[in-house]
Amino acid sequence: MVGATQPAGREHLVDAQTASVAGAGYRAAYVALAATIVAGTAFAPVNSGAVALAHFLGGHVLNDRAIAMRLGSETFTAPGSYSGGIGWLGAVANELLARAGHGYALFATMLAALVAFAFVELRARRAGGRWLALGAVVLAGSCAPGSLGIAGGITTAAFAAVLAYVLERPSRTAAIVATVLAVVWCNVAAEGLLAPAIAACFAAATTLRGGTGDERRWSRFACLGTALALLATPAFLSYPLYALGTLRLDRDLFGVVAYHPIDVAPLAYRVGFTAMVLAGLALGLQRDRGASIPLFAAAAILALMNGAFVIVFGVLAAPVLAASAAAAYPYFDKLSTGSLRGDIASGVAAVALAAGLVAVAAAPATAPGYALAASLASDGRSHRVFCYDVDWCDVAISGAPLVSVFADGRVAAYPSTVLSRQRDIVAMKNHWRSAIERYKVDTMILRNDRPLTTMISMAPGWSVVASDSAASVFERAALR
Amino acid sequence: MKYAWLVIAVFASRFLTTAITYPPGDGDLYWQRLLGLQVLRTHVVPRALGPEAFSAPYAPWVPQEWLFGIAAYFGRSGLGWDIFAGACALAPVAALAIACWHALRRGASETAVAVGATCGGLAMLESFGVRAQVAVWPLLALFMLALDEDGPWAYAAIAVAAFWSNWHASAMLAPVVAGMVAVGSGLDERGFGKRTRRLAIIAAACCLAICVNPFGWDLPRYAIGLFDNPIKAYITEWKVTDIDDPSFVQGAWPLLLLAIAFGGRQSLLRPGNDHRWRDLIVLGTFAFLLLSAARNVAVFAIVAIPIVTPALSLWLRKKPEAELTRADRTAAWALPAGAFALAIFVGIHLAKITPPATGLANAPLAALAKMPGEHDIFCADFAWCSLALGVPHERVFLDGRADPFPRPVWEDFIKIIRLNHAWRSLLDSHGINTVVTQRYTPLDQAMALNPGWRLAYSDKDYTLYVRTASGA
Repeated sequence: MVGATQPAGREHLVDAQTASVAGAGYRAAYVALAATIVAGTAFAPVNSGAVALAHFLGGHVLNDRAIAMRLGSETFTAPGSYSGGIGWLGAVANELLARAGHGYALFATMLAALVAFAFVELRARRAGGRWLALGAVVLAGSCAPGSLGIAGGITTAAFAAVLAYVLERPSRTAAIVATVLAVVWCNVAAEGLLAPAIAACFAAATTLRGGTGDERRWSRFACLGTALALLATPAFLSYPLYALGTLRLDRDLFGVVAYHPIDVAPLAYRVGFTAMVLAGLALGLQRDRGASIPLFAAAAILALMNGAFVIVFGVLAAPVLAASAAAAYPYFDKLSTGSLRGDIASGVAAVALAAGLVAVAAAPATAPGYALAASLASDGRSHRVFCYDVDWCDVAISGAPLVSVFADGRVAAYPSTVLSRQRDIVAMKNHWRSAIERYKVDTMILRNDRPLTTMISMAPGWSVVASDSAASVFERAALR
Repeated sequence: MKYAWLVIAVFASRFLTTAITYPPGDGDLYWQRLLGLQVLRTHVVPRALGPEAFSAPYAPWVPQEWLFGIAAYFGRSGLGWDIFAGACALAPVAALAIACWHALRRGASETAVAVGATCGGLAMLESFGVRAQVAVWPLLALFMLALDEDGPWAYAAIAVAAFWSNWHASAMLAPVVAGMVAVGSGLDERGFGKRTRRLAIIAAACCLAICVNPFGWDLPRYAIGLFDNPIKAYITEWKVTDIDDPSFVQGAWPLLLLAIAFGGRQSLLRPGNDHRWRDLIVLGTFAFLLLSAARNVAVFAIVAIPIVTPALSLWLRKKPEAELTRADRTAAWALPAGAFALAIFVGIHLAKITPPATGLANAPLAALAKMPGEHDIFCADFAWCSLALGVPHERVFLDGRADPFPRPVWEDFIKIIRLNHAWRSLLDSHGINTVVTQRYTPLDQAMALNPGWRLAYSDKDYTLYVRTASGA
């Protein structure tokens, strides 16, 4: 008996030591990852256009106690055009945070990032254990460059990650929570449109993996609930249409907005997206393979359609790969890695670190191009502005009613004729000069290295009045 | 191959139609024919540009496509063109057929191979043309087939690499791929076994084989130099792959998704697969290339078909009714439905075939040839200027040979077509006295406002500007 129990005792001792070392390593890795995410957020560039638009829309709601459902005098090409007040709640929240100070906005962004990656970790942990869950966070994080800044898209990732976590285990509670979450998301941003699509993927997954009758029923209810949530916004029936336009997936917008991943999120696409695909090749979709395909494929297609969604692909697909890794390498699941108390302590440490970093992080300078638009908004003169990059005009409209623009970043609200003229002018096609004359454009913010900029500089009556590393402002002589 | 042949036949008709209607006077083909003629006349492959390139006279040149140039010369018109273009159309067909046969040898089912052939054909549609890089697709398929051989036939890969290096510099892939396969084999064998040793020898021999051409070591050196060559940024084919590339979305992406779906230990990396690491390393590398540049879409498909379809076959195999999952039942109708949808798509494509736009500035350059004086020409599309090669009194700034022109020439070319603030001074400093542009483009509009230049020719597509005496 002694001979039989002694080796087992040594094995137990070795296992305990391994577990102890693994637990300490895990906690260190956990804290290091959280610190990286928080630091990445603190020093990421701000999405100036989205912040300015939120300021414009949120300010309208807070000052006038009404949601702007139509374009106003801030545009001279389509005043009165229906915009649906898309993202009004998010705009109000952003404006309140901005009024409180840059630190508050930054802290909120850090929390959104922590929530996004925490739910990636929690979802991956269910299938693959804690170590592989950390790996999933690293993979998802590699898709984050470009999304971590204020209004950079991390909020979308957070909503997607939480929703995926809720929907993965279908139940009545999950269906209700998902519906409520979708209602909030739809009012916060146009990306709320993704909620029923994500729910549909999980419903398909539940069906394909042969879930129980209850699971299938509640996953379909979640699908229905999130779909109905699309109607719970001020735009009501118009929300899906206008939100779809706002997501910038429509290929008709070529030349008006950028959506190629390599243009929108080059680092995230080259590193994160590629790493996810290569990890997918290496690991395969092993656990509930048929069930994982719809979510993985749909999220990847979304990222390929608009680089802004590479991060959404990351947070949705990384846990799937962790589950595959767990099936391939069950060893990781056996590693003991700490406790709930340790997780809570790590989470508190991450939030404290975020708060500490907020105190030292300086407000970033406005990005080139946007800064020129901001100077127009504040110079006290009237301008009819054409922006080469429509997002620059998001900043310019804060000077309304003195400043009005040809088109701004709310592309879904502008008639197709206006967007077509915008495209013509940028590409110097189809009587573009007469379009400028017809709309009485007197100020143009143009990208420095483009043919249009040279042509305007050669045109009589126009002269450059300001420039930075990205853009130049041209004004008609009559304006000066 | 009974189903795959059907699919390949559909694509063969598409490739043949495209090839025959491909403009015989394509700018690239023009200089390739001149190259072929020069080789045939002098029995020497040129190693430098001539004085006709006034921006970089006598710059070193590696005319990697010299053998294709000779073929292009023989196929310059009439029946010769039909044979030459037809042979080019056979290249993707042969590549597909070899890849499918390779897949069958690896145990893929007929259905899976047909699915793979459909994806592969779609992946090739966009890149296809009468071009040297297309002509070498079957060589890549043959090379992969030879590497998979578990016997002396594997050494045939060395001969394929040597032959390949005389057609296109993409032969540089041969030693790289062979090396990766050797590493994968080592992992599979858990040591330096017989197969790994053979593959290592092949990889080393391929390093030498790709120098068995008129350029020797210069060919791989040229290929390596392309990695950081800025001209890639200005050539559509080198742009990073995304959803707007139809061949990627319809062909390569489904193959990649299938590889991901059927990767892992149960299939691609299944314990019974004795080349799982080889497959994974090769597929991973080509997936990386696929996501890096649109020109690799077809190449990925050729490599992926033999690797992915056997894994797909495992999933498609008939199981006892009791073992069928819901996913299996869904696949039973979803995959044939998908293949049917793709077939419809190809049919619609075939019905919509129109001869491609010539894309060549024949008319303005013909008009220019009749104008007296010396012409130093700038073409807004550098390939057009190939038509001016060999024409008396005409020299070009940049032409379809592209690669040998130094980086500063490329940078100036881009500055001029993008109307950089220095564009006018660059026209002056290079002594350019003739500009050919497409009508209504930014450069055309800017030239119209450019003092010292006059419009010498225009038609509905092109304009030609020459310096006036005051602008000289």
